[in-house]
Amino acid sequence: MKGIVISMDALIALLVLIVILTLTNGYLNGIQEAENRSLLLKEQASDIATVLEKNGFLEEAVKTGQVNDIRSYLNRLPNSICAETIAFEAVDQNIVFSAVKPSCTQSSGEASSINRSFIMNDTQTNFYYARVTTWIRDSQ
Amino acid sequence: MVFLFILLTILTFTNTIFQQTVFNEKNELDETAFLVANSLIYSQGEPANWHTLNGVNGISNIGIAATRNVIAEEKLEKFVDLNQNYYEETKDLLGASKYGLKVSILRMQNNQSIAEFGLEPMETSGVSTANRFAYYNGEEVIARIKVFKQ
Repeated sequence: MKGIVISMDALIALLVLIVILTLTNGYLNGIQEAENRSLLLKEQASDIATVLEKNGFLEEAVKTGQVNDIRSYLNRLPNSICAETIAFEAVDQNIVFSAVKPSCTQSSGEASSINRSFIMNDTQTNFYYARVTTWIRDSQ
Repeated sequence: MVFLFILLTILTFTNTIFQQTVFNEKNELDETAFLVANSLIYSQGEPANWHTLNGVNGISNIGIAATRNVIAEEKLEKFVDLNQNYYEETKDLLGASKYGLKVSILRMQNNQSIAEFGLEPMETSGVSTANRFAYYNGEEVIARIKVFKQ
């Protein structure tokens, strides 16, 4: 009788161990997958900032206050990707403009942001930075 | 009872190992797509004039950027040319030797293809896609990198 109890005890302990190992494994896999996704979103945000800077859209939007070109660019991104661009004055942090991809609302899920500084030369040199945030569109 | 327990243990472990293998493969595909994309659109390649060399001899890294996120026309042309005779070697140089690779440069305006390298995956599953954004000849483009099991 004592032997059976000990065996049962050992079996239950092993079972618990297996359950814990399986759950831990699943959890760690989930973390790794989320990390990869987050890394790609960050690089995509960086791509968007670079392209907007190189095609002059950031500068234009600061000069005119019009964000149509930026919004139109964001709208051409692949359907699954949402993005928002906000520009700030570097010194006092005032928002200069903000544009979000049409039909996108801020996700409840993960989002990645990068800040990119840029310079405007008009009558004097002014420093700004653009914050680009990307996230995956919530499935409808 | 003991038999049932052993059976349960084997089933659980088999399932865990299977899931781990599938996950590791997906993870590796994602990482490879990410690294290929970075290499292509961030770097000029090594040496920077690799596109003027014959074949792939002397090339240690392939990049099609003139500057970060700006694709150089002549590098892109050479990259596409390599597809004809040096598909495997080019994949090796990009760090995707174990997998199939398809790189498409698409106009953002209408998704029309400007340039293509590699092979289209046979199946839709087991494909990792990285969409990256760049600038090419005055227009915005998407660099779509697909990495898949061959």
